Amino acid sequence: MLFIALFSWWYTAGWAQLGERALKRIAGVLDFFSVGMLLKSLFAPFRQISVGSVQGSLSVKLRAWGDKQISRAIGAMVRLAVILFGLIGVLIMCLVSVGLLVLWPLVPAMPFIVFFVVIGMQ
Amino acid sequence: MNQGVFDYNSLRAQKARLSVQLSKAPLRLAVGGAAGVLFGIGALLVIGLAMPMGVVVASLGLWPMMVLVWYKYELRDLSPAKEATPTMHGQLSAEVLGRLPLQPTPQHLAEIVMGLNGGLFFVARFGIGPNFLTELSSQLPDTTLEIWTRSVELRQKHGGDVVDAATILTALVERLPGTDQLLARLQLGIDDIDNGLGWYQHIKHVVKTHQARRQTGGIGRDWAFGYTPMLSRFALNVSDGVAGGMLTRDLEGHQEVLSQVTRLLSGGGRQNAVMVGPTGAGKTTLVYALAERLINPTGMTPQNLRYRQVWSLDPASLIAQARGRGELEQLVQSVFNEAYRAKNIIIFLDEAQLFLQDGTGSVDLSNLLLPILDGGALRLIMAMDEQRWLQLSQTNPALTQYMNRVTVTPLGKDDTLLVLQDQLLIMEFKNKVTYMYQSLEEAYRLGDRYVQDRAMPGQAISLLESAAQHSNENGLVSAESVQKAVEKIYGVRVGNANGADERTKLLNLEQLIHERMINQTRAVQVVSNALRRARAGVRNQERPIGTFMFLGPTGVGKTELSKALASVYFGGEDRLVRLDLNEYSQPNDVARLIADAAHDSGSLAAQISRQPFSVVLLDEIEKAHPNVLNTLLQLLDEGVLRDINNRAVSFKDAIVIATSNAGADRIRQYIDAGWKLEQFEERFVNELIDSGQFKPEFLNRFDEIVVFRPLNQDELLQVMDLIIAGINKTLSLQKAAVHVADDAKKALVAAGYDPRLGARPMRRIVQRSIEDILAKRMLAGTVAPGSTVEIGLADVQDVIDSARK
Repeated sequence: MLFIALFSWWYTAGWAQLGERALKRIAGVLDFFSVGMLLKSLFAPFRQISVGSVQGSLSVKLRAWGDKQISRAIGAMVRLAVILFGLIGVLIMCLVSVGLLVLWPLVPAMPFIVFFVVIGMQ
Repeated sequence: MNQGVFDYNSLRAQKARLSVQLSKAPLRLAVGGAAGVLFGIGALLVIGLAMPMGVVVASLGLWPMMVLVWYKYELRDLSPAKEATPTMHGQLSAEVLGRLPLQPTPQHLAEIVMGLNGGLFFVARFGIGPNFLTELSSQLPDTTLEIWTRSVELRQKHGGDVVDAATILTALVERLPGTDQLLARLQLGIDDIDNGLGWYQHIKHVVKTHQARRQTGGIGRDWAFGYTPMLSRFALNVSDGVAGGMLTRDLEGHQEVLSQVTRLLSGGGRQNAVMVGPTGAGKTTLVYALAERLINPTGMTPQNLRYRQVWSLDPASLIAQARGRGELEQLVQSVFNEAYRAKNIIIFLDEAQLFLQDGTGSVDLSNLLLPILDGGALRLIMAMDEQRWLQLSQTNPALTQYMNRVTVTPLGKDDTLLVLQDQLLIMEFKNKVTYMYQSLEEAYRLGDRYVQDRAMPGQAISLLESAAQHSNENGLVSAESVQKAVEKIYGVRVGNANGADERTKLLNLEQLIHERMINQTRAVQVVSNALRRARAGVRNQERPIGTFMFLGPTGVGKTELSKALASVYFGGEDRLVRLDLNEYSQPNDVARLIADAAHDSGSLAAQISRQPFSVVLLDEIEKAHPNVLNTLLQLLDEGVLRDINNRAVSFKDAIVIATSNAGADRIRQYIDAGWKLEQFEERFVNELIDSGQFKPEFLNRFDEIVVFRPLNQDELLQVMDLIIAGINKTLSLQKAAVHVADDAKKALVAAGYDPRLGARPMRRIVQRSIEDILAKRMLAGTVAPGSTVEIGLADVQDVIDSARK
């Protein structure tokens, strides 16, 4: 009875839970690398190093504008790099999760599968 | 019992039994070990012996691993079955279900739950002994259905997902025969057990929430916002410090305040909120809870507030850094500019009055804040009490006009208990103790009564913090621990009379008082009865312990009884707070009566707020101004006097005694005419009312009106003995004693007796005779250590003669 219960859980709720955990892990990676927030603020000045309107001559204003663009450019580069790392992390996580999801239903039968593979090879 | 309710052989019950087995670490270790051995053998065969079949052996190790995975993700916390009619095998938690026998009785249930976390929770928090339930629960299987039905109701009420050990325990306790009496011994009622179940379910919920992954924005969260080096120096990042656990209870009052502040800070208007409420009402905690919600946002959090950080500005470090006022303003301006530029900062000014008035450790930044508040660009939260807010409204109305007030009100009892349960998680961790439920109830009761400088829940929290030092050897903080904390802090006795010594003292109060008072038996008895009622816990708790009006001529023992009470009951004559009301004969003297300690430490309000457990002696009450009397009426009625700041000072642990000489001559006339006290007492009081000396509504406020009669010469002789005993007590320090001959005593009494002035002249005569004689002999060196000075009639004759002249 319990044997059947184990298999029943393995191929229904257990498998579904594995999928849910995979999704949570992916969400965790996205949160850790702040992917969503970095995408939204991709071209925002980095750390607000230059901010607000500047009073002064045209050359001062032009220099402030230039500073801001540099800050934006640096910000965009840093953010893109981190987003890239995040996406690589998500990709790895996806591959691992898909692998686990594929392997999961095979686990109970794994000794038999391996047995036949080994016999076949011999 | 009904077979439909429990099926021992159901699949869920079997799973639960396996779960119980696997919950034992050795078994899990054995299963895991088996997997490891198979993996190891497989690896050895493949690598060591180059046998491909080793892979098959290794893969066999996956089967025991499957069992462990199954346990972790299903068996350990079995979900309830979906059923139209809840059954035990479908709804019980795995830990209980897996331990049930074929035919469970309430006693079986009791045995099981007392060994599980839910049961141990009640053992530790409520003092319910492990054998308490087991011995008293029914052994009949048929009665299990009743317990089960109640358990299901309780689960629905408290929102648990399964019927767990704590729920069953509650149902069992409710159904015990004579449960009310049994719980009463633990100072508990059925409702308390029900509250305990709610508490347990809440802890489970908090633990579960805490285990869930927190999403706090990640590494790039703050990259679009500015650096804050100045803030890091002069402020505390509240958002960094909160890591869950702040206000996990959703109280209506708190939710309202939090949503109001959130609305103000996220809206388009002036983005500030001033939290106004008494100290201890939870203003700072609410700001911390807000910070936690913003840094760990949910779908309800407005988009423009997500991941915003709350920084609490530190006035002391700002003042320490700046050399002059101008520099300070510049510094604060820079901090505010930085916060504005960073775009993700909410500034919090806790105790905002420190930023709005000049003084030691405080500075008036009103001029600086005014344009910031007006502009509304910088998000700002302030906290202050009602009085400061009113003061600010008067002194700087322009500033308050720009502020958005949010009122934080003190919590009621039920909500306070819930907040305490919340805060205990942190307090227990800090103090390494466990608080019992009774300690929370007691902290509320005593906090409400004795902690005057803050409001609920702060009052109770401060007592619980102190009570941790009075935990028992097992680290349990009980109601007695809280009582001890109050006794230590406030010097009051709040526990019921438990000690054998104290019980003996209370039962023999009259005798103890008469050791220092002669006669006046009725007065002594009335007062003693009042004290016994108080210590036995049967008095009205909302009034003073006792209120008495002592009427009688001077020198008959009115003040002496008050002193005796202070000494015998409260432990010392210094517990007597004496007010001569002839000094309160002007209408504006009320202000002196109710002045707070900061203005007049000798006022009645100040003295009692320092020492609530006192005898208050209101001497010559008939001479007080009617305004003063009206103020005292409230004290007599409600046991509360409001001080000049409208703070309630409790007189509920005081004995209030008013004395008056009014009608002294009339008492003497009655006594001279041969009347006994009991015969004329009522008539005499009526005469006082008829003559307009006292209003009936005033006299009615007292528990007892006690008439003292003049002392006769025999009684004065006994008073003389008491005085001499007092002198001997003083002399004992110098290893000497005095003995006065009987004829000398009689002569002194005769000389000192004055029907109008009672025993007072005699005390003076004793001073002038015995004490003077002793002083002279001691200075002359004629009193050797260990000797007794004999004083005869001849020695005191001179003094007596001069007194007669």
